Amino acid sequence: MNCEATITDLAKAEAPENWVREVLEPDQLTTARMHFGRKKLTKGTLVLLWALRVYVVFMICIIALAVWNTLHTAG
Amino acid sequence: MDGAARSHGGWGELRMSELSTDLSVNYATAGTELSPEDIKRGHDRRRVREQRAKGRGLSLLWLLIGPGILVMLGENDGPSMISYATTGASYGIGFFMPFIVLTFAMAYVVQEMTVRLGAATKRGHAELIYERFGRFWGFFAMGDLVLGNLLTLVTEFIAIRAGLGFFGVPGALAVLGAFLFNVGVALSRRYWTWERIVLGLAIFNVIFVPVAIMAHPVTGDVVRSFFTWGPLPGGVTAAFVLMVMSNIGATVTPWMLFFQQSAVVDKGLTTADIRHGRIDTALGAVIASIAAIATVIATTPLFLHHVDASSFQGADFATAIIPYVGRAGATLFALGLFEAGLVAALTISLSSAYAFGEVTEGARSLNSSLRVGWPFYAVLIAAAGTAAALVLVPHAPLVFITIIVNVIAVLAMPPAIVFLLLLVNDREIMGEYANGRITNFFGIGVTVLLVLAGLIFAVVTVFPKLLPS
Repeated sequence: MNCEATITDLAKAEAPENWVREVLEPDQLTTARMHFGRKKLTKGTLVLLWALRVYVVFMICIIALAVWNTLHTAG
Repeated sequence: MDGAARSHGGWGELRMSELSTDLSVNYATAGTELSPEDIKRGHDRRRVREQRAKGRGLSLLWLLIGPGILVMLGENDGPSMISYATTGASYGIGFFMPFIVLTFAMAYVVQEMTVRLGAATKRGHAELIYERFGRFWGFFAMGDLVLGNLLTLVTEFIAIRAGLGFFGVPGALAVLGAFLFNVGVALSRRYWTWERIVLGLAIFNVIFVPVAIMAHPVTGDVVRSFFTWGPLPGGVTAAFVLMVMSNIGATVTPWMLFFQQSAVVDKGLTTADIRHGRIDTALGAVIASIAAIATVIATTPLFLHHVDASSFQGADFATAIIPYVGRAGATLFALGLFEAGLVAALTISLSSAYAFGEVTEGARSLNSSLRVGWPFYAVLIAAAGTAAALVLVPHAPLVFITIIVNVIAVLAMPPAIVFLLLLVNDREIMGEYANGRITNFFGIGVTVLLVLAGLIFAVVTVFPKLLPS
């Protein structure tokens, strides 16, 4: 029995969109997405993320001051 | 074989025949229902596979370019082109010429990581942040993106209004027309179609090159500036610091990370396409930097003739350069401003929709059908619509928004890049495609540079007498 011929017949007998499963990788299929799960953040990483968050808030205040100065001077 | 099932994240591969490369069907997904989005993406990937198999390099490149060029040319948006025009009018040909090249090199370093992230994980940026870091940190990342995108979109519609205003088109008509065009292109419900239309528009960013030629720059000055990083008229002043920040903000912004990674996923790129993704991104950086430098050159006559451009907005530059580049050159400049605003409006509103779809675990693709993807399209339309409406509101603080948008972009980048670096160094999800030492060196270097730029801006703002005005 020709194994490859049987395989070919099997493939043809499957759904016509089988070619889609051939050209897409499994995790590209919309209904077959996997979840990676949560990554454990180290203390150092948490400190860095919080520091950057404080930095952004601080800089927003600076921008507000800069714009106030600009508009106040222009006015 | 880019479509082959492979071992990743637990999915197993069962090859029925080692001799035939056409039958590597993943039986783990054999029973999985295919969506219209899968079929559309499958069509795109089949063409890539065919060209790869035939060894047609140029055809393959044509199919695979898109996200990189769009993100770079999308970042040459309205405020960015105005920032470059202001640079030329204030400093002429000198320091900022090689500096612009440096900023695009920085942008390449950052954006290349999003290509690998998207291709290796098949996930968008927002989705990965939520999955790996949790809702709390995802909320912060999304907050930065939503606020930044809304402000930036407003400035894009300002640029559209200004560009078309040069031709006498009423503001409301210009804004409404651009908004409807955005909606129409998105509702093609086909990523490939959207991408090709926007690419066709984006390439017009180089319209600033003929304007630069019409400004008759001294070639020797242009070439010399790249080697000497000078001259720098006036030296290091508070205005210089602000201009540096503005130029950086014109090149690296958070929405770029979200957009390119999600576009890579939407386009269906895989790890086999990373090399082409890098070429795509590099091409985008080169074209965008050429357009940016051309804009600086185009407005240099204003510097040479001591024209005060400090209060210029949008189309004022087009009007001001008429004596030096002629009506034709000014027309091209105004068209370029319109194009810059339009392309950015298209890409930035899409980045908002991508992020929304990813964090709500809903549709997140331009290949989505209306039935399934209506929330995705609704967010895209709402993002663009809100910004367009704000531009038409009388007495809206548009000057305020235009001043701060590039600066906010610089300030929001460090947290965004840190999330990116954490993800791209995560070997659990990246495997062999995680960052190496050299990429980490440059990535961390860019982050440090951006933080420093922000801190220097803060010091100069709080202590204005520290530097000469």
